[in-house]
Amino acid sequence: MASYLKSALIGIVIFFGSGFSIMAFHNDIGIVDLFAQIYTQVIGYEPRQTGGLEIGYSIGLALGILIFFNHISLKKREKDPTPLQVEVSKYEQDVEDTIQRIKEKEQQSQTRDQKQEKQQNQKENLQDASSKEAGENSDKDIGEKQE
Amino acid sequence: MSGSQILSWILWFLLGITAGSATSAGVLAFLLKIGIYPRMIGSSHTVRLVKFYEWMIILGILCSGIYSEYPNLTFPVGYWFVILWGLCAGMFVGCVSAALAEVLSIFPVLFRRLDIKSGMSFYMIMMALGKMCGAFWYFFHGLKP
Repeated sequence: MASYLKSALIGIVIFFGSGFSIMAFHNDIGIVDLFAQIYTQVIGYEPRQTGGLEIGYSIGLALGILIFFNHISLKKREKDPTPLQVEVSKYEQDVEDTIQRIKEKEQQSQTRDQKQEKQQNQKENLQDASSKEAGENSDKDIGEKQE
Repeated sequence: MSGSQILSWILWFLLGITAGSATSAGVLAFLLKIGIYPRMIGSSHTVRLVKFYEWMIILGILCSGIYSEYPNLTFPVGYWFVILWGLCAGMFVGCVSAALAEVLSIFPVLFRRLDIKSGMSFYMIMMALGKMCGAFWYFFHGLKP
C-alpha cells in the first residue's frame, strides 16, 4: 500500500514537473509567435482560436516521448528492456563501480601507510643496528661466521 | 552598383556564410549528440536508408531556415498541412525533451534516490501525459511570453 502511495506521489511530481518544464520551454522559444507565423504563411491568416497546429503539436509531444521510450512498438518483445531501463541499470552500475573503486583506493592507501610505517621501522632498526654495529663490529663478524 | 556597395555586399555575404555554418553545425551537433536520430533509425530497423535520412535532415533545416527568414514567403496548401506539421513538430520536440532528460540522467538519479525498482513505464506515461497537458494548458489559456 505504501509503495502504491509512493508511486502515485512520484507520478504526480513527474506529471506536473514535466508539464511545467514544457511550458517554460514554450515561453523560452516564444512558440506563440512562431505558430502565428506558420499560420500566416500556410493558411494565409491567423485564427483567433487555438487551432489544429497547437492540438496536433500537443498530441505529437506525448507520442514522441512514448516512441522515444519505446512504448509503442509494433513487435512486442517481452525480454527487450526499454531504453530507460538500460539507462537506469547503467547508472546503477556506475554507482556500484565508483563505490568499489573508492573502497579499493582506501584499502590501497591503508596498505601503503602500513608499508611506509614498516619501511620506516625497518630503517630505524637498521640505523639502530648500524650505530650498534659501529661499536660491535667484531661481534657481528663472529656471528656471521657462526651462521 | 558602386564599388563600395559591392564590397559591403561581399562582406555581408561572408559574414552570413560563417554565421550560418556555425549555427547549423551547432544545431546538428546538439541533435546528433543527444541521440535522437540514431534511436529513431535503430528502432525502425532502417539503417540502410541512412543516406536518405541525412539528406532529409539537411533539406529540413535548409527549407525551414529559409521559411522562417522570409515571413512573406507563403506555402498555401490548406489547413491539413498545419495539423500535419504540428504533429511532426510535436513528436520531434517530445523526442528532444525525452532525450534531454535521459542524457542528463534525471530519471536514473531520481529512481536511485527514491529507491524505485520497477514500474518505469508508468512514470514514462505520466511524463508524456504531463507534457501533453502542460502544452494544452499553455495554448488554451493564451499564455504569452
